[in-house]
Amino acid sequence: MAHHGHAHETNTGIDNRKLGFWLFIASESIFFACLLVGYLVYKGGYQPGVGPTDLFNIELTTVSTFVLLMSSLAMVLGVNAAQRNEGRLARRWVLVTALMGLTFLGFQAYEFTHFYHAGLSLSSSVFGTAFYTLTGFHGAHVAVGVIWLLTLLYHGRGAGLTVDKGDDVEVAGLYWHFVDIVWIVLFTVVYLLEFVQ
Amino acid sequence: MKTGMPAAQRAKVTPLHRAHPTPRTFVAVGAVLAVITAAEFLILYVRGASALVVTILALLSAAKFFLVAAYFMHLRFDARILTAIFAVGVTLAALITIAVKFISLA
Amino acid sequence: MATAAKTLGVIPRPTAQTGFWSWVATVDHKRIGILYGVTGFFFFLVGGIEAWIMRLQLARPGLEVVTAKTFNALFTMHATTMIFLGVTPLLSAFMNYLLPLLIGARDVAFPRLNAFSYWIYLFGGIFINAGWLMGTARGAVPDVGWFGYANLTSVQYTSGLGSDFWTLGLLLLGVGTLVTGFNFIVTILNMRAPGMSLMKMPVFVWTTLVTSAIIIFAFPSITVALIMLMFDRAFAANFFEVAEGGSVLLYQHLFWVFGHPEVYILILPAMGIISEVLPVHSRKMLFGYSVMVFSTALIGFMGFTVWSHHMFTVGMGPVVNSIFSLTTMAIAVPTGVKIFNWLSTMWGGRLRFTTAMLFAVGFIACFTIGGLSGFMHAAAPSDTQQHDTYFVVAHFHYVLIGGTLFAILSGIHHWFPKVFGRLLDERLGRWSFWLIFAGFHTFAFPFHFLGLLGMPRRIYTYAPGLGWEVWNLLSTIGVFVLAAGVLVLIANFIVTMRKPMDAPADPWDGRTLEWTLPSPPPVYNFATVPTVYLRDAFWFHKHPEGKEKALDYESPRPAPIHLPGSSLMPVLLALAPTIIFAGVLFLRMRLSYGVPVIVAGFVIALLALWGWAFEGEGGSLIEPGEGD
Repeated sequence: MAHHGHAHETNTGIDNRKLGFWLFIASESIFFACLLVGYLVYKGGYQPGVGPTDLFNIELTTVSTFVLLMSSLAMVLGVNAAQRNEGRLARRWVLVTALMGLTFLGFQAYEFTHFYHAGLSLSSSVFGTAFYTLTGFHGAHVAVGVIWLLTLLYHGRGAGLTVDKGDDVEVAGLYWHFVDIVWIVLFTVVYLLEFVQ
Repeated sequence: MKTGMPAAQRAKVTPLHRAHPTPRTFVAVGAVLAVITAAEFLILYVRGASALVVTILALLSAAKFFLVAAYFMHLRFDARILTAIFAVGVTLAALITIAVKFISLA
Repeated sequence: MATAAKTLGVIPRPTAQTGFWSWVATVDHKRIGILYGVTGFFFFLVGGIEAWIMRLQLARPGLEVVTAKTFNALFTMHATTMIFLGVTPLLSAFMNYLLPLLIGARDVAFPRLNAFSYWIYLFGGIFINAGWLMGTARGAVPDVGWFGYANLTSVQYTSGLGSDFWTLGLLLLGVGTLVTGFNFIVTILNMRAPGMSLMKMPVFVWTTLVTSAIIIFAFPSITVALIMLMFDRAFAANFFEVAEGGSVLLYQHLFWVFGHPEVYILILPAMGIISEVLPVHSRKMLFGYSVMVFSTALIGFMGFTVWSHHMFTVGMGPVVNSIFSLTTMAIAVPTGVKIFNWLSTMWGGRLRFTTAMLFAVGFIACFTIGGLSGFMHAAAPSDTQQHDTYFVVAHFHYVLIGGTLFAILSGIHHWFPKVFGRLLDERLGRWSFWLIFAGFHTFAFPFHFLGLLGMPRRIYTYAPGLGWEVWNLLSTIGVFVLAAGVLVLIANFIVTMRKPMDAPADPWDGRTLEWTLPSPPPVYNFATVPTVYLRDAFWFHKHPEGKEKALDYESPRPAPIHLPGSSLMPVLLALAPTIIFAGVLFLRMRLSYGVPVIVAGFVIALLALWGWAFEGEGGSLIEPGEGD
């Protein structure tokens, strides 16, 4: 997709959209930090039997974390393939990334359903409110990412995600990795820290 | 960026990027991430030294954070201003989180 | 590469250059700037009328011009309108119009996103005000203060839809502002003319850069606060439900972490305008450029360290209060430095008291007064007496009217010829200045006394015998004089727009690149982008004063220029979250079609994003000289 603002035309040497996207990432970091603050303030506010140690399945969440991390690997291999003009390989890696993202969402949907049936909802306690909001917004970001990747697959129909589309793949990759980084923080703060003995 | 010249002109004078990583590098980083995640899970079995465990967990997740940012997001090989932008965002995010949490406890 | 015609589901880009739809589909920063300016001025008048009604109500004790509930709606909407729908968009109008011209660019980095920001502002502004149609009695107009403190805003205490219009409307506005922030930073970092290093940029560009940085780091905080509030109101969440363990202080922190940087968003572009107007009408270079730049950056950063000075009285304790007192006092330093730099710029200059200059000098005096009362708030102990009194109202009206508004009016008179091709009438301008200046002081200075005499904020009437009558009456008289000044200003606009477009390119002997272009500039801005060698390059190009080279225009015959294509995707994408939020509102009203409306909004978003991604480059080639 031709556009103005290619790297060689700019003062910084960085493509307009790539620079803009890093600014967006910096801004979204503040967004998630504020949601995290809400969680930290409220994480102790649960009713007996409906708290993190009662509900969390740390083994399952570790597996889903692993899936999301590996999806980042798949994504960067896709970006790399696109930059080396291996269009069809790039497309395959993007598909793998999207599928792994869907898997992560599946785990999260299962988790939310299980917690809800156990009595934890958005309105049942401050912990419920904070937990669902924080992890839910992360999940929504993953979902948006999956849609973005599927659109990227359409964009690469035919010859694949070739080097002329490399910038598009790279920006999508930045988003995906950022969502992964947010989860790295969330996994530790929300899940792991509850199980320290 | 200092002279306002378009990058194409400056490129004739200074090299723009550092060396690019290969797929092998990425897979290696991916393997490290997997190992760290396993370690984070296993360390939960350690009893008694909770302050130490929490510190180690924080360091391990920070390591994952930096690896994804530096290698997967390419910051280590890109123009420094991108790292600066991200660093400002992350630092401000951390400071706001700590400040509000601290004030709420005080 | 697939063309638009071969990609499924995409409307081709519109091509009209004139007419209604050309404005709806425009991506030209100059047109978008005018849209912001006109819409912002309209909302400024709305906010002014809301203030005028409040002043009528408070002119004497015990009046019933409006009910208490309506008065609550008035002070809420006056502030919300002025800050978010009036002043910020007016500043945005300047930044949008001028930024590319000042750095020698043809447009901003992301023209379609720029248009999107405007449309979501318009839709958000309508959304917030929609409750007026339902009336204030049932609480359909926001009436909980412009900051919407929890848990007054919980459904239990404020069941009317006003707070929902407010919360959702502000979320819409926030998205647009954030996007503008990203756009301007990339434009400034990436699209400067050859030779224009960062330290050669006009100060207005620096203030735009720092303001945009503040925006992108501050707005996420209020976004989260509003999302939490919306979740409480619409989905029975417990963020601020005290009975469930919710904390109202959490809201205040998240609001003010945004709220304080927000006031620097309101003042820095204004300071940038003054930094451009003063040197031109003093015919002298800005004093201390590097210090001005450094102070701007320092203010931007330090603005994030002071937020809890809005919360001195909530009981955070002496340690926290002291820390924020110190940081608040510290931030007065870079601000004060700028005042001295402006005065030094004027000292020894050949001053020309045009209307633009009158407002600029007025800014320096009035902003300083506002700064002094602000400094008095910085000490937590004295703030304990001043908080929630009219003393605070005095402070922020001095910095926002005497500061920001005066700068806007200065900028309007300074750049009107460039934008509209006609010079505003100087006689009408002087009348409007003196009426506004006198009216403003008569209206706002009494607030200092009222505050120290103990008059609280946000009361709709007061008892006689407290010593408040004379000041309140004086303030109301002041508002009439101020309004007269605004009417003269509007008359000036009308009279001027009827004149032929005969303004020269450079009526003021300007210093910066916008004055090298015709008035108004052609759609492509620069036929040839100059190479810049100095700060104030255009000035030294005209008056070398010993400097060798200031500006260079390389090619004698300019090449054809590619103009970005217009697009309907920005307005369509702006419509999507508006519809989604309308659906949330319907859910709050317990209407069954809430969910389908939300789904429809998401579908429109997907369609708009799809069209955006695949509508293709579009645009046209234009020969410089064509279409002027």
